[in-house]
Parts: sequence; C-alpha cells; structure tokens
Amino acid sequence: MNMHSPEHTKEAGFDLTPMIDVVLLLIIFFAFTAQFNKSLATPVELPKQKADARPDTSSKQSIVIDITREGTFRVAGRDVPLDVLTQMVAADVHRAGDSANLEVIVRADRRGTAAPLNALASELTRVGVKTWKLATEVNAS
Amino acid sequence: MNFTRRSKARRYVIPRLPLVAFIDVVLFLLLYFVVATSVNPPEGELGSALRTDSKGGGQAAALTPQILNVESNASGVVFRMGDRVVTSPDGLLALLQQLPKEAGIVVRVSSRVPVDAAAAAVSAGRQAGFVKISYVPGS
Repeated sequence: MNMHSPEHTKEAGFDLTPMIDVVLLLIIFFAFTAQFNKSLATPVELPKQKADARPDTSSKQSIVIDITREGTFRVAGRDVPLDVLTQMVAADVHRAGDSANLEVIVRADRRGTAAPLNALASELTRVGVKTWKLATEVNAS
Repeated sequence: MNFTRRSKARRYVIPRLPLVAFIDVVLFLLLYFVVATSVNPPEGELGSALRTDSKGGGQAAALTPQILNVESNASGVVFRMGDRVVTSPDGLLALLQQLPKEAGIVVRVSSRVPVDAAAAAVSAGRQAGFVKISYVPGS
C-alpha cells in the first residue's frame, strides 16, 4: 500500500540563474579592470641585486617612477618629461608636508645607463627629496 | 488506519541545491585568474639618501664618509675607493666589509655606467653593513 502521495517527493530548489548572471557580470568587470591596471605598469628589467623586502608603507604617500632602457621617465604608464616630473614630485612633497613622508621608488631598467638616474637624483635633491629607493628584482638564490 | 497527518510527512523532504552551474562558474573564474595572472618576480628595495656634489655652507660632519666611485673604463665598470680598484661586485663587497661603518658611505655614480652597476654598489654597501648610504650623481 503506497502511503506517499506524489507531492511529498517534490524537491525544493533555488533558482541560481540571477546569481550566475551577476557573477558573469563581475567577471567582465574585473577583466576590464585587470587590463587597465596592467597597462599602468611599465615593464622594465630591474637590477638583480640583493635588497630589502618591500615593506608595507601604505601609510606613506609614495610615487613610483619608471625609467626605461632608453632613458624615458614614466609615471603610471605615461611618459613624463623630467621637468614635469620634477614639478609633480615638488607638489607631492608640498602635499606631504615633509619629504620624509613621501616615498620615492625608482624602477630603472638595469640595461640603461645611469645618466637619467643621475639627472633624476639631481632634480629630486633640488626639490627637497632626501631619500629614495631603487627597486630591484630579488634573486631567487 | 493511517493516523499520520500529511503535514508531518513534509518534514522529510530533503532540499537539494543544483550546484552544477555554480561549480561551472567557479571553475571558469579559477581558469580566468590562472590565465590572466602574470607571474612577476618579487621586488626589493635599496634605500639610500640623496646628495649632490655641491659644496654647501653646512657644518662639516664629525666623521667623513668614505667615497665609492662607480666608473667605467676600457675594461668595463670599475669600483674605486681612493687608490683601490675592484671590478667585480664580490670584490667590492670584500673591500667594503673591511671598512668602518660608522661614517657611512657615499656612492658616486658616473653617468656612463649601467644602472645595474649603480644598484650593485648600493647593494654591496647594504650587505657590508653600512646603514648610512648616500647616492651622489656623478659626471
């Protein structure tokens, strides 16, 4: 004697279609954002030297300056002439109040000459920057 | 006689979530991030002070820092401290380790040498135990 009626075996289910729609939308958003961020970083071959690990200095204002092998200065993926770059750093120093609160990180291509590095150092010193950091590629060994 | 009420029988219904689509999306996300991630080598930092060669009117320091010149000649990059010249970063490190560390070191880099040599000089100073390292742009 079958005591169960057909309605008792009905499965409860959630409709996941809207969630999948949202997830796919997120994927598209992050795909576009990732491409945008990637274009900001200038690919340079950094010196392979032993160095300190990059500390967490999120509390400090920082500016990252890329120097290509050809000696071009780039900030956030854009070519910037040295005089404009100097003005930018001077404004950052003014905003930070003290140059000690501003972290200048220089990512220079190891194959280029030190001439643009020296020119940058002279200009940074002129606008009151007292320290800088040269980015290196940490050796695996 | 059946005394069981129909409402009690509904308690035993097992809810099932159709997770297949969800797993599809998660695997797709995983695949996307694996493909899209560029494996960048970890970066380090060589911190140094910035100075210029100009003679200021400031007070002279009690300890005169030692000056390391990074230059280039016909044979390539050379590291010169006074009359002592070394050509390799390892030789430079050995030289710097013999020096007193309190006064610090000034690295004067010629514009003709590659960036790698400048970084090697600063790195050798750091490894040798110098805390005060100044970078001075040379000619």
